[in-house]
Amino acid sequence: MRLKIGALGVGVLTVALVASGCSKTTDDSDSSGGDKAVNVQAGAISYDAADNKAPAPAVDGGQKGGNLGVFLPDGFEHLDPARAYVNVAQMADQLLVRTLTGYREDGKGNLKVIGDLATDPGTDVNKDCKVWQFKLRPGIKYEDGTPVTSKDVAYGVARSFSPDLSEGPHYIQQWLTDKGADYNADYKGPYNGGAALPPGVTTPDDQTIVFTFAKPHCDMPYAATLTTTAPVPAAQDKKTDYDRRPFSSGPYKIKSYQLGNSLVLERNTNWDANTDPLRTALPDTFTFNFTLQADAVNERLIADAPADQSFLGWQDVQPAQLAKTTTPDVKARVLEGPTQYVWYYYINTQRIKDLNVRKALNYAIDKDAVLKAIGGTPAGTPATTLLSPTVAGYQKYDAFNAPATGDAAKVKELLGSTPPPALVLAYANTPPRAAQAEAARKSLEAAGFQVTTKSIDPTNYYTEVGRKDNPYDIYLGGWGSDWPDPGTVIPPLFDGRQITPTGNQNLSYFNEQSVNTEIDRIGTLPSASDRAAAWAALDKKIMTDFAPVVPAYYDGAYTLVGSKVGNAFDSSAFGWPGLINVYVKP
Amino acid sequence: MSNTTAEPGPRSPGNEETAAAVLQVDPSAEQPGSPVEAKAIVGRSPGQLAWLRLKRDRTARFSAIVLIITAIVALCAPLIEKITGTSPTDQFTSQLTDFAALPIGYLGGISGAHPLGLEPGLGRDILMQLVYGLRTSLLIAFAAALISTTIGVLVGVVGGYARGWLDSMISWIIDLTLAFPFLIFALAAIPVVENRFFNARDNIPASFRVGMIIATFAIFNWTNTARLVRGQVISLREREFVEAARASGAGTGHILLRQLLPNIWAPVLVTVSLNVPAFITAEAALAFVNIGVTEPTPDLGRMIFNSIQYLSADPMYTFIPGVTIFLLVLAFNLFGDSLRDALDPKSSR
Repeated sequence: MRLKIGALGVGVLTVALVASGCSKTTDDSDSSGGDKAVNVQAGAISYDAADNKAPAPAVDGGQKGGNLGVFLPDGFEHLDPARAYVNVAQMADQLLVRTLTGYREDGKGNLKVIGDLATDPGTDVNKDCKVWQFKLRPGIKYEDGTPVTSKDVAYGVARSFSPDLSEGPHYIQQWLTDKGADYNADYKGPYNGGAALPPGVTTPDDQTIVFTFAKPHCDMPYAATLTTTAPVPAAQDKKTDYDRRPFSSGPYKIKSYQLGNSLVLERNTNWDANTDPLRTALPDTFTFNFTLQADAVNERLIADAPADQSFLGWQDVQPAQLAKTTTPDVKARVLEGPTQYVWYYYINTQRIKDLNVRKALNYAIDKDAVLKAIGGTPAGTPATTLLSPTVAGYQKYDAFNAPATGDAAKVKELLGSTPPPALVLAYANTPPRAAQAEAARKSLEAAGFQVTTKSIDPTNYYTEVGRKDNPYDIYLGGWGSDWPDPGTVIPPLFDGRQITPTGNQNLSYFNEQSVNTEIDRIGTLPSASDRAAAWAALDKKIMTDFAPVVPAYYDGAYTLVGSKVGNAFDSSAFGWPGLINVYVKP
Repeated sequence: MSNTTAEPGPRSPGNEETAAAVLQVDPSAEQPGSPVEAKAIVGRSPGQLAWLRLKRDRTARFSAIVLIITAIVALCAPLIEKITGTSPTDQFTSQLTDFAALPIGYLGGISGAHPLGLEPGLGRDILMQLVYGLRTSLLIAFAAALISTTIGVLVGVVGGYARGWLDSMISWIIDLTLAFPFLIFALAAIPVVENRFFNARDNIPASFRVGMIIATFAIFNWTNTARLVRGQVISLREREFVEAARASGAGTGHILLRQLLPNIWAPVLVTVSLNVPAFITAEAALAFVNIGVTEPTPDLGRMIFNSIQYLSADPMYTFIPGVTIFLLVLAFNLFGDSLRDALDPKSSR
C-alpha cells in the first residue's frame, strides 16, 4: 500500500510565548537516546484454540462506559470497507465492521493473527496455499439484528472489484483473478448485472466461504485482516454512498457523520462480546474530531484540559512542539515507537547505472541531518535495511557501515577518478520535506556531488516520481507494509516486472533477474519462518549487491493521549494507537 | 527637486499665496536658532525646504539611520561571511539535540561562533541567514517598488492628461488589473513560466525566481500609483500655470514633464516609501504558499514563516528575524510619514 507523504501539516500556531528562552538546552537524550527497544515481529498466525476463543481477553483495569475521543486533523477519505486503505480508516473500521481475521495485540509488541468473523485464521485446505476455507462463528449479527452470513462476506469481496470503489487494497482481488493490476478487467463487481460471487469464491453454506487461487498465497490469513473481507449485506449496499454509513457488524454503529467535522459512534446493541475474540469495546461512544490542525491537536493534548482528557491524537507531534512533551506528566502520555514505514532515498537506477555511484550515495547522505530536519529521534531512527524492524523476519545488518552522519572520504574512495554525476533531487514541496531536501543536498555536495533540487507539488509527488521516465535521480519516499510481513515490502518495491509507464511503486525502477526469481521462489515457500528468513536474506543481498536505494530512516510514531485514556498503545499493525481495546478512566 | 524656477508658484501643489507664505514664514518661524538665516530672507526651492524639514525631524533621522545600517549590512553580506567564516547554508547539526533538534546552549544556541544562534532542524547560522535573507528581501522590495512606481507614474500622467478615449482605456486597464487576484496569478504563473524556460533537470538560478517575484509584484502594484497620479494630474491640468504654459506654446511633453510631474513628486515618493515595507511583508507571505524564494537561497520572509511555529520551543529563533522585519517595516513607514510631512507640511498640521 501505503505510500506516505508525511502529514506534517502547517498551521498557524497561536500560543502564548512561554518564558523558556532563558533555560539551557542540553542534549541529554534521556528520553530516547541510543537504540530504542524494538519489538521484532514474530508475525505469528495462531491456530491455537485458546487464542481464537471469544470473548477477547479482559483489559487490565478496563472500565466500561464513557466517551473516547480521537483527534484526526483531516478526517477519513473513506470508511467504506472496500475503499479504506489508509491506516486511520482501517483502524476506525475495526470498530464498525468485522473481518475474517484480525490482529490481537497485547501492547508489548506481540501480535497474532487470529480468526475474527472466522473461527480460525483460515484453513489451507490442500496444504498448497491455493484453497483457503473460512468458517464463520455462529451468532454474529448486524446492527439490525440480522445474522452475518458468508454470502455477505463474498458480496463484500465482490463489490470491491467495482471500478467505482477501487481505492482499497487489491491483494485478494489480484490473487483471485491472477491478472495483477488488471484484476477487474473481466469481473467488475455485482453492479450492472455482474455476478454476485467473484471468480474463485464459493459459499457452500451460510457459515463457510472458500477462496481458490491459481497460485499459492500463503499470506491469506494476513490479507484477510484487510477490510476487503468485511461483510456487506447486498440489501444495504448503497454503492459509493456506502462510504457515508457502512452497515455495522462490529461493536459500534454510526450515530452521526459530518464530513470535515465529526464522526460519532454509538454501541451496536446487537453485537455480542461472546462472538468477538478481538474487541473489548469498553467506551460507550467514540467521537472523532476532524476540525483541528496538527499543531492544535497536540497543543490541546499537551495542555490536557478536562474536556480533552479522554481524547487521543492520530497525529504525530510537530517538531516545534516536541520540547513541550518532555515534562514528566506529558512524557507519561507520549506513545512512541517505530511504525511499519521505512523512508528511502530511491535512486533512479535507469539514470544512475554505476553501482559504485549508488554505493557512494549510501555513504554520502547524512541521515542524521535528514532526521533532525524533521525533529530528530521522535521522527525516526537512521535505517540501514530495506525492511522495517516491525516486519516479521527483520534482520539488522549494515551493508556499508557508514556513520549516520555520512562519510565523505569513503565517497571519494569509491568514486576514484570518475567524476560524480550531477544529481537532481526531487522533493514534495512541504516545509518539512523542503528542509530534509536541503539537509540531503548539503551532505551530497559536501561529498562532491553536484545537486539540483526540484520541488514537486505535494499532492502530485508520487504521481511524478512514479512515472517511469521521470527526470529525477534521487527522491525520498516512504513505504509501509500492509501486514507485518516482508511479502508486502520487497515485491512491490523491488520486483522489476511490475514496472509500468506510470503509477509505479518500484521507484528505483530496479529490475534484476536474480532478484525477481528469488521473489518468486520465496513466495512459494510453505513455511512462514522459512519465508521470513529468505526475505531477510534477500533484503541484505539487494542492498549489498545492487544498492538501489539509500535506506534513510525507520519512521517513528510520536503521538499523545489524554490522561484519562486507558490501554492506548501503538498498534504494530497500524502504527498509531488502535481503538478496539482502549477505555476511558473514570 | 527642479531648479528651473521660471514660475515659482506652480511648484507648489497649493495656490500661489501658500507657496509664498511658506517661503517667507518658514526660515524665521521654524528656525529661531539660526540668526543668520532669520535675518536674510533666503530664496529656497520647495525641494530645499522639504530637505530642511526632513533634516530637523528626529523620527526621520532615526528611521533613516536604521535603513542605512540595514542597507549596509545587506550589501556587505559577503564581507560578513568572510569575517565569520560561516556560509549561510552551512549546517551545524552536531550542535542540535538529538531529540527535537533544538540548538544546544542558551538562547537558541547563541555563542561566539554563532552570535545569533542556530536554526532548529537544519542547524544553520541565524546571523548569516538573516544577513543574506535581508539582501534577498530588500532587493525584491526595492526593485518591485521602483518598477511599479515608474509604470504607475507614466500610466497615471498619460491617463490623467489625455482625457477622452485614452484616459478611459487606461482606467479600464487599471480596473482590470485591480480585479485580477494577485495571489492566484502568482500561484499559477510562476511555476508555468519556470517550466517554459527551464527543463525538468535544469538548475533554476535563484536570480530567476527572484526576478519572477519582482515582476509579479510590479505587474500588480502599479495600479495604486497610477490612480493616485492620474487623480493628481486631473486636478492640476486645469490650473492657471498649466494654462499659462499652454498659452506660451509649450508642447505636451514639456507640460507633462516640466509642469505636472514636479507637482506630484510628493505623493509618489510617499507611495514608494510605503510600498517597500508592503512588498517586504508580501514577499514573506509568498513564502507561506511556497511560491516565494526557494531553498537554499536565504530569505527573510521564509525564515519568519519557518520560525513562527518555534515561538515557544525556541523563542530566539522567532524573535530575531521577527524583530528585524519589524524594525525594517517600522523604519520605512516612519520615514515615509516624515517624508510626506516634509514635502507637504499642510497635510499634517
